[in-house]
Amino acid sequence: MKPRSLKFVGALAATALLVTACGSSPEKGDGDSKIVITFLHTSNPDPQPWDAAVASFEKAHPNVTIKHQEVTFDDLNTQVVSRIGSGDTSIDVYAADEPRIPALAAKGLLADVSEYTAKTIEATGEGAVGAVSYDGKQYGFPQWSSTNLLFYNTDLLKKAGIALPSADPNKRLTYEELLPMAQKAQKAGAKYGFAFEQIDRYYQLQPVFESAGAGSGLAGDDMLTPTVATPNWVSAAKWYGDLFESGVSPRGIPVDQMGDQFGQGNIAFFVAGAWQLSTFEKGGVNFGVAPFPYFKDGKAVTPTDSWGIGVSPHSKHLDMAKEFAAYLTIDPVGSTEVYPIATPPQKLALEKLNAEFIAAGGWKKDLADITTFEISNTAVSRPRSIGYVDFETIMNKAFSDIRNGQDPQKVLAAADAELQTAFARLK
Amino acid sequence: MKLREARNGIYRSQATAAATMLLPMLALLVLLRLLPLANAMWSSLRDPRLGATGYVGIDNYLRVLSDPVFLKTLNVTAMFTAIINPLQIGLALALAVLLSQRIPAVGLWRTLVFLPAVVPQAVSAIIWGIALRSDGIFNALLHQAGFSKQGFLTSPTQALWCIILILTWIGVGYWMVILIAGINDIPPELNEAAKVDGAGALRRFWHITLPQLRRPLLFVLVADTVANFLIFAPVQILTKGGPAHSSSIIMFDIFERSYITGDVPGASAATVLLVALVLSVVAIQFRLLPGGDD
Amino acid sequence: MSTAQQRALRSLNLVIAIICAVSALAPLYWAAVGGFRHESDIFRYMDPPSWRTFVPSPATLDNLAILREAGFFDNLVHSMIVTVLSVGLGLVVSVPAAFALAVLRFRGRNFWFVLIVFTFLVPFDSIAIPLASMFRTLNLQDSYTGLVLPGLANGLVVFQLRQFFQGIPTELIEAARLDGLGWWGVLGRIFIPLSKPALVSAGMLLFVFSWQSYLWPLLIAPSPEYTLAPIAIAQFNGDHTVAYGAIFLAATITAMIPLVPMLAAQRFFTTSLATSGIK
Repeated sequence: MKPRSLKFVGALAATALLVTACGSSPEKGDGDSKIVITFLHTSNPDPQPWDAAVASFEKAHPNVTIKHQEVTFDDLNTQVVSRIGSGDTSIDVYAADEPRIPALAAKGLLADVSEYTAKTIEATGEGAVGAVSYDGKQYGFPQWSSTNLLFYNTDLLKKAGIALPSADPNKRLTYEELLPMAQKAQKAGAKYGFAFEQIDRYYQLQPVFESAGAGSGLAGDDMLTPTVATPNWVSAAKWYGDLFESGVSPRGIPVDQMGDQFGQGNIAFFVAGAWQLSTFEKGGVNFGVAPFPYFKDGKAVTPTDSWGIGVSPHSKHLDMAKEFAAYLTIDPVGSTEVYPIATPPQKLALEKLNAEFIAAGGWKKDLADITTFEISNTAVSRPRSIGYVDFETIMNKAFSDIRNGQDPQKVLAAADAELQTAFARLK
Repeated sequence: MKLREARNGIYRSQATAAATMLLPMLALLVLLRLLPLANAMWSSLRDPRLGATGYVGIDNYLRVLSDPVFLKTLNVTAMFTAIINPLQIGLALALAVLLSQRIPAVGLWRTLVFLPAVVPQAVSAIIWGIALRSDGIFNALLHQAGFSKQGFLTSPTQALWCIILILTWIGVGYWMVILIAGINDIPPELNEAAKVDGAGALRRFWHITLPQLRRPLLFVLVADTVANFLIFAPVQILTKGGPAHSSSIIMFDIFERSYITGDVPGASAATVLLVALVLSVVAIQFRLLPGGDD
Repeated sequence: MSTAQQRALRSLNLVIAIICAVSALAPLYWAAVGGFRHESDIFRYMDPPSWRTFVPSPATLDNLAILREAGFFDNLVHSMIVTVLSVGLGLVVSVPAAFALAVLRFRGRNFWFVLIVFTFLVPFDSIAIPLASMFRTLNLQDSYTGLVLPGLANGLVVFQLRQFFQGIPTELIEAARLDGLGWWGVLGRIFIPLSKPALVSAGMLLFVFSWQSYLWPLLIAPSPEYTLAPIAIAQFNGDHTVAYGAIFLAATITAMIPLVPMLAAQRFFTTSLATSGIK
């Protein structure tokens, strides 16, 4: 063979040695004394939610340091799958999107924390435990829940002579009442009459289909049977598409930019979550809140669930990681120290949040009252399925196509077929 | 020394020098590209079910190839490739010819045309997404001029063209710079002599510039084709392959399978298919065009 | 062509050049302007367009404060370190390899060339996860070595330099060999001085690959001490709200940094006088 062959092997070996010698990152979480817990989560605008809770946990456990790693929502999934999926020990605790927990658990990416179930139920009620469980075991801790409300632009409504909707959940508006009001506001000068914030997202559209009696779109014992091509789904989808066809809602504006439209005063009625409040305040819009609308012949349904905190099964400090996760979410002291960027299911934390809002009066009080009511009465979780990510990916594209004018029946039939293909590999 | 021995001696010294010169690069390529590729190809034979660890042979390939969405993706990719490559290379060549003339501040114009290549791609996608919104600048100008507003990224017939436009804006300056280096390498006497002979600008371009550019042009052709098979940031951020899968290019499909739905074996199978496709296209380009080797 | 016609042609060329440059710049200019707007003004002046579309009014430095608080300027430094290392080391391994493939004659030369071309057909996203696993096993995560190494395995740069080296007249090589120069000498004394524009282009290729890399740094160096600029920019995407002003300002600054070396390198892109008279 060529004289190169020996040189080749030698060079490869040398390169490998060189590369190992240059590897310079310090040992993490070594020894019994110093423990570093790496906490991976999405970024949030200030104030940072966990700062106070982390500080007090570190004070109570002087040998523990918490290290944050912030990424975007999409990158979080990439990180979890690639790092924990390859057995990497560098993530201990991470934020887990609750509807994805079944898939994460089935892939072995979450540690079983069923020993905390009793405490979790005590702190948050049964519903919250369901959101972080799979196959009868608990795989995470519920950090946030959520709900959505109907925000309305008081100036636009007054200009059009429309009565401001009531904040009383028993006097909830139906879509049949709402749409004519939206059109009236548009005639009087509003750019758009009505819009969903989480446009094209299953999170906020599931209640629409549920309220129309069409169900969640998944059925079967394992929730791997798609039912999105049923007549009920098609007619509700037609209703959704007509919002854009008729010009009541805008096409072509992505989800991230919808809140700004309401904040600028372009939308009369806007279904959104309380996380948009700072955007509304910056935009200067005068607004009030009312409960999430429903279809006249259907039930009132609201979206819910949000983030849970999970523990990596490969963590080198499994017990401490679990304790930390529990402290942030269900501990009576720790959970109240977490700044509520959303609605905490932990009872004491929720009370604290509500107390501030109720004391403030006005729309803030309405917001707190409606939120408490919806979470206990009308909230419907997303379907618990290991195929949830495939489901959401395909359905969000379908909603986008319907919004952009494609025929709902064709779109849903195609989506149903795609779902069956996708689920075939999971069964 | 006999001629044969002399020649062998020359070859051996060249082989030794070549070995030391090539070794570091080859070692890096084998370890950091081929080894993980082999790993990825191996995982294309794995069982795709959650938590399963067995092997299923070519099942993943069959599954991917019988998926109607994947077939549509192949279609879209073919159309996309056929449009974007001639467009970008033609434009890069035209710009290179223009910006290698003696124009005041030519260095500044070249740099500005190149600038989009160094903006983080995600941000470029966001900026263009906003410009193409229903109330964005393009529709606003159309409206002012009396035309009707267009769907752009929301239209199944326009979305792919918009993606092509964005990618062209990002990349064309990059290829232009390489061609400028090629043009500047052409000895000026060739053009001077042709001018003296009375050849017009077009004839000079066709008979002198183009042939002299064949090596850098082959590079740009191959590199741009490959790059356009592998780039997908605007699709990921703006259309997610829609509307109605009209902008679904194969690399985005692979990305979605790997990183979003977690079907790594399927993604690996699709990757192998993609590499095979790109390899055949590149092989054809090398065959058809001069400048491959001497 | 008369001088009047020549001057008219030159003016036309200049006008077209300016139009091209402005078209390339316009979207970035709008984003740069957005970096100095209040968050709620970013989408305000688009339809109908007015002078406010192109001038921030009122202007603000709030986004600059956001960047500073987020430590963005540290991220820029990390990016610059990684890129300088990538360009420097990348050229060091690529230039000799390209020379060997272009000039030297040895058995299997075509095979290695084909292999090198093959490697850049491989989508990085598809090998990123196994590669990251391998690097973690070698304890290379969260280090500059881990960040820089994969960028050096760039077959495209070798290909580009090889194309250029093939164009250098063989008489020069023969003359140098007759003078007793070894192959490294031929490379260093003959080829490199003649290759400035190609080396700059190769450097530019390496630069852009490194400056734009997102997935690899995300997987291998997620700690804040090593976070690079493009990933730091992505972090301004919150769960429900996006800090567009901060993103635009950060991206503008990130794009401006390569502008300086790029403008400086323009002087290498002039007609190569050394080759005239020989080819």
